[in-house]
Amino acid sequence: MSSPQLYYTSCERGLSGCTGYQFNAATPGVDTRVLREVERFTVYEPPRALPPDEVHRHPINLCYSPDLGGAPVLSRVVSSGDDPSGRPGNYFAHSLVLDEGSETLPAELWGASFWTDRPVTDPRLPGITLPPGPLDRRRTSAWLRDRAEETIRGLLVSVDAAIEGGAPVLLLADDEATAHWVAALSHLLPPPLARRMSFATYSGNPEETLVHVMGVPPGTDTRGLRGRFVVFDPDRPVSIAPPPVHTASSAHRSFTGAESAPLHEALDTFEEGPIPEACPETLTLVSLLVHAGVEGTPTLWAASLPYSSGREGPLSEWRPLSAAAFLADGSFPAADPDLRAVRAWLPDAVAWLAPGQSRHLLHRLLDADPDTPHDDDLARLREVAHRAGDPEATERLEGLILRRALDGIAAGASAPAMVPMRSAWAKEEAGARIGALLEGGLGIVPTPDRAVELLRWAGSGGVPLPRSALERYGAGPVAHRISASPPEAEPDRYLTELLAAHSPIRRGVAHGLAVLPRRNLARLAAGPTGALMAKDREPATALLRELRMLELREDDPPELLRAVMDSRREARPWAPPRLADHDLDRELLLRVWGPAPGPETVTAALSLVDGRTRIAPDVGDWCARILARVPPRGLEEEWHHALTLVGRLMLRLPESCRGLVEEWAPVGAKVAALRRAHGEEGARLLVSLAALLRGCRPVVETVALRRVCDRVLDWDHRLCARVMADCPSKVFDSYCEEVEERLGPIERAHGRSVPPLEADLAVRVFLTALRLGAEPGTSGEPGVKGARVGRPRGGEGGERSAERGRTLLDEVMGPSTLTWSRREAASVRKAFDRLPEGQVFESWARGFRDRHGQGGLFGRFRKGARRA
Amino acid sequence: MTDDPWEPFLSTVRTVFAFLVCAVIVLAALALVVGLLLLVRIHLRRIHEVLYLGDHAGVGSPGPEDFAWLGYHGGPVWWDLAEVYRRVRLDTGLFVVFLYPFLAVQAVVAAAHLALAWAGVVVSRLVDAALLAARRIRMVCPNCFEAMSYPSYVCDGCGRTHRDVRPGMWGVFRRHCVCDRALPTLLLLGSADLDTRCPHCDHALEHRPGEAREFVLPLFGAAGAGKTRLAHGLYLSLEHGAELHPETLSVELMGEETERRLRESRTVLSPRHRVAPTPPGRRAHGATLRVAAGRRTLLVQMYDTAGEWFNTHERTEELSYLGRATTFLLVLDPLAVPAVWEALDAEEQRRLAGDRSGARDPERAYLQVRDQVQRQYRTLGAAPGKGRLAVVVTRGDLLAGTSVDPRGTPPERWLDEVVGAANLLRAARVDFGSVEVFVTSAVTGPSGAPDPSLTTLSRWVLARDAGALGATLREPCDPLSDAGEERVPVSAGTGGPS
Ligand SMILES: Nc1nc2c(ncn2[C@@H]2O[C@H](COP(=O)(O)OP(=O)(O)OP(=O)(O)O)[C@@H](O)[C@H]2O)c(=O)[nH]1
Ligand SMILES: [Mg+2]
Ligand SMILES: [Zn+2]
Ligand SMILES: [Zn+2]
Repeated sequence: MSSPQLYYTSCERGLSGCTGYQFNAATPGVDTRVLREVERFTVYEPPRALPPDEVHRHPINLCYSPDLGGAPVLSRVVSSGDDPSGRPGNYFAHSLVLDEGSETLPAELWGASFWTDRPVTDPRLPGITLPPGPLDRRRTSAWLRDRAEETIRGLLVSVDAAIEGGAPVLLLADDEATAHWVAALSHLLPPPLARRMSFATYSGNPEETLVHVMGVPPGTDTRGLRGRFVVFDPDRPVSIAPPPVHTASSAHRSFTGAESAPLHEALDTFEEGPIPEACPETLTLVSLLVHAGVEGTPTLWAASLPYSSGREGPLSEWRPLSAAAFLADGSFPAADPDLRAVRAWLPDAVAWLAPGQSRHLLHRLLDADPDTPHDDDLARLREVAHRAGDPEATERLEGLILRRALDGIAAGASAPAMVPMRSAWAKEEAGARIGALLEGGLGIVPTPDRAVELLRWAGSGGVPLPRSALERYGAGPVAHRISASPPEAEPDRYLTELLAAHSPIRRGVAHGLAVLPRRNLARLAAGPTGALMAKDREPATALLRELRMLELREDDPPELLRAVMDSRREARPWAPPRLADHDLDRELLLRVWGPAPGPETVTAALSLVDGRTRIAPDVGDWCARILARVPPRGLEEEWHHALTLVGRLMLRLPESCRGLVEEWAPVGAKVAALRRAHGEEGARLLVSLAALLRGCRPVVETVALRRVCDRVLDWDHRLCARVMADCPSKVFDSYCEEVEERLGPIERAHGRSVPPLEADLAVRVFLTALRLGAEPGTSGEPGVKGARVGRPRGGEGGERSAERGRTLLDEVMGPSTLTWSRREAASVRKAFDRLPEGQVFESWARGFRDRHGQGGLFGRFRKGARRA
Repeated sequence: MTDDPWEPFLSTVRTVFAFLVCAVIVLAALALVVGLLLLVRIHLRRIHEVLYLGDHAGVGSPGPEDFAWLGYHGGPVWWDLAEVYRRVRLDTGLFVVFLYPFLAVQAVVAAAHLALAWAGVVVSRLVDAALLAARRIRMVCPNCFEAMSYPSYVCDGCGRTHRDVRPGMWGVFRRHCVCDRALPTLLLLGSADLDTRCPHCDHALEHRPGEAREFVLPLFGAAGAGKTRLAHGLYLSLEHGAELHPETLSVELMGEETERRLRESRTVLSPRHRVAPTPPGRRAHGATLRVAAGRRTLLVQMYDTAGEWFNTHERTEELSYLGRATTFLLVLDPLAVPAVWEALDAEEQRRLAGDRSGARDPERAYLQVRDQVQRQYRTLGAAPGKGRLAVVVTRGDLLAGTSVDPRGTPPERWLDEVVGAANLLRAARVDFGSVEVFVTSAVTGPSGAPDPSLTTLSRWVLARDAGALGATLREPCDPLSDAGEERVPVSAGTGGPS
């Protein structure tokens, strides 16, 4: 592309049509705004120190601005003596409106052959194709060879600051030297930045020259400008020691920020004016540039430019690009500052980098040094990996992040905010890491509060928790802590959370606690620790739950037993520690019902048994012991049931018990028959039963008789008297007991209503006694003479019968009447109403009471139920 | 009388009861007083905290726009009251009702303060504005040519620019910069001692605007007409007058820029010196002279703009200072006018060729400027026809002794007859209220004194706005003026109304 040209001078003929300053000629099509700006930009004032007519000694001003009316313009302004009307101080400005994409840097065109300083007659100028500039890198490199490095550094820093709006740079140098300096700067700076650097090789009036770098003739008095300009006198270099750590061998040497301190001190000693403060990034890059030299920078920038967003401003923003290029190249291991720079930059850069570039850099970063980046860096790099579509790097980074966070938490740091993780692998890794940490991966086993933090944090991120490690943590530290504190003590909130929220830990704890003595374990189970597992369905904690139930006894015994058995049965397949071998065993039964239970417990226990229940052999023993005892009155039926059940279940029974079952079988059958029988048949059966009972165990005998006599009481008094008259005394005793039981005092239990006195029974028994031959008069003082009742037999048998009748009246019935209330007595009296024996009873009863009673006044008053 | 046996007992009871009632009343009164004292103490303590110690976060720092703390009357007085109330209420709960009278007193005091402060604001502003108006001071920025109602000032503590320092929310007689430096709020109070800036373009104003009347003096004319040289000449004539009468007249270059432009006036006016063209690439800028005679002071802003600016309408349009001026100097090079040139003989032509400027048509610049002045007067609402125009013919020294020597002819007639500018003059009379013609020689004599024609022109320039100044120029410095133009030593510079 050709660049439009503009000639500007004071002349008689030009574009304005008047004489005076004007554009003498121009390539058509240049915007008038550009023209106005060029006119303003190229004003030339010859040095005051030189006579106005010595034009050849006036400096040349090659000046450049990237934006004059919207276009980059390069001008060469020369003093041209008198104008056509003879006035002095004319100048000629030859300007080129540059093409933005041009390769040639403006400063290189110093001394180019196409520059002209003569007005022309034809106002239309052709465009010009720029040749390569004479001030190429070779020449600037040669020029820089004998210049102090510090001057270059200082200039780079100051020009960078000036481009960003800082104070402009003033070079005390002639036009040519300034051109060389500017060219050198252009060659060192990144090309886009170089193109933003405006300059003027000569300025007659710095305050009106709006450029970043300008030359003023040596010897100019700059005292008035110091505050507003950074003034350099390149011919008065300051001597400072070269910064350390330069080795000539590595061209791409990166410099740490620490080195910038001496450099900066050195720059401050510049006599000509303070160098603007520069950040370490800038200083590092400046050092790199100076080191690479004018001829080395093209390679550097060529490698860096692919990473550019096109919006980089000052050098500090170019620094990461060079670091990225270096890192990506990979021929030398990257140094820490480079890595840091890339790390800080990449998260933003991913927006404009090609995904491949981002990925490559990311992997380089991760390979170079995965351990030092700050946590925030990692999080941002992860975002980079995600945006660059790199699952592998994402995984690595997430792994790192999680690991970092976990290690931090385990070491006591507060949990960082959970970032949602994308990689399943990383989560699994994290899970494994948690496991390792719980098992003391960091050298110490984390305390419960740390463990809680770890698990909470992992839980919030969906990290799968390592069951076995949790179990071991539970069995080890947690169980240890629990057993070390008193069993009634409330576990602290961390332990509580661990136990409540994590079943593997509960499982572990159960295992860990299993070694405790049973007594301690039971207390623990009953305490707050046990409460945490009460609702658990975890098989491992079955023992603790069982102990808790047995200790607290919140249910009634059968329910309790059922619960324990169920729990055992459910847990059994998992073989938790110290689980009882059987669902039902003697120990359990003893715990549920205590040492002396009744036969009903056997029924209750055995009714819970089904085909799958594992029953311990000693259960039979337990049953046998209970059944061998005479059951309390009223529980005969239960006893009978229990015995039948035991027999049916075919429990392993001790010898004695088996005998009991066998012995009972015929007796039981007979008793049953008798209970069904009526009248004479009953009497007959009783006789045979009595015979059968002879030689039987007392328990069998007692139970059988009790069950029989219960029936006999209902029999007609005549039949009853007949049977009682000559039955074995055991039967009669049993009968008496039964009577006593039914008519006599009742053990009042709280809240139980007393059954009404069976008045008919009293009548029947009285009549039976009379029939047996009792004469109430003989023993009862005012006996009722003549009220004779027919006796079944006389003789010896008669004697015994009468004796039994008396016994029945005086020892059984009599004491019973004493316990009756008046209402009860009245009901009996009433039952006698229709009978002739009523009178007899009345007088016997009164007599008996008078003799034995706590009769008297208070006895009369007595009311209420029968009392003992 | 009944001798009631209970009587002594009852009377004892009555006495005890009376005593108890009294005690209760006294105690209650005491409690009330103590309570009230406590409340008042709390109130006073809070007032001390908030108002005196300033322990009150409510007073926010100034926004990014304004650089000064609010004056106490500009808000803090109410905030403090509210804050005291808030604290007292927190301290006393419902008992605060007992403090309402005291709070009311505080509010009344605050309101009084407010009334006083705002009265001060209004009065001081009125006085200042009235003074400016009475002295007919209108301030124009020599850089952007905008009229400013008040200059901006730079805090000498921190360098922040305060756009409008006048009394208001931020202070009555002083305002406090956020750096805590107190700044005067009015010119009356000495604000001019601060660094001054244009509120429109932020250009540093070194001429202490507002202290004296400003006088905008545009010089216009074609390129090479002699504007720059004439500006130097005018300055030098004033300078010279001041040198002769240091006790009555003083002239001062205001600001670096002016200094740079005019400091070499003596060299520029040396007869053989040739002035370099003013580069049109530089923006026009008013050179400010501070001319003082006795208690009268005038700030003369001379605008010497490159001739190229008067070639086209687009450029002249940018010269908005034209609308702010009432006195104009149209500078023209007689040699450039073909009629004059033709009238010279060959030898004269050869001798003067180097001094002849290229612009052949002096009317072009005139027309551009006239159109522009009229347009700007219209937009500013100024009355047209109030202006004064001096048509200044330069190079009087060169014309002297030639065939077109203006000496002896009244300048106006000379212009009419020799230059042939009758049309121009006619038009000018219509366009401007008064038109004068001067022939000047912008040169210095052998003694180094500027040519008297320059003094004549200066006197005319100052006549309307500062007649007294003009008078000081005349009497002692110009021994020749009474004797007439012919005795101008160096050349034929003539002046004065014909
Ligand atoms: N001898 C003499 N020369 C003059 C006089 N006025 C102007 N000149 C010369 O005329 C030429 C032009 O004068 P300037 O003052 O530069 O003209 P200008 O109007 O400022 O011109 P631009 O800045 O180009 O617009 C210079 O060489 C001056 O020395 C004068 O009164 N006497
Ligand atoms: Mg000029
Ligand atoms: Zn301004
Ligand atoms: Zn301040």
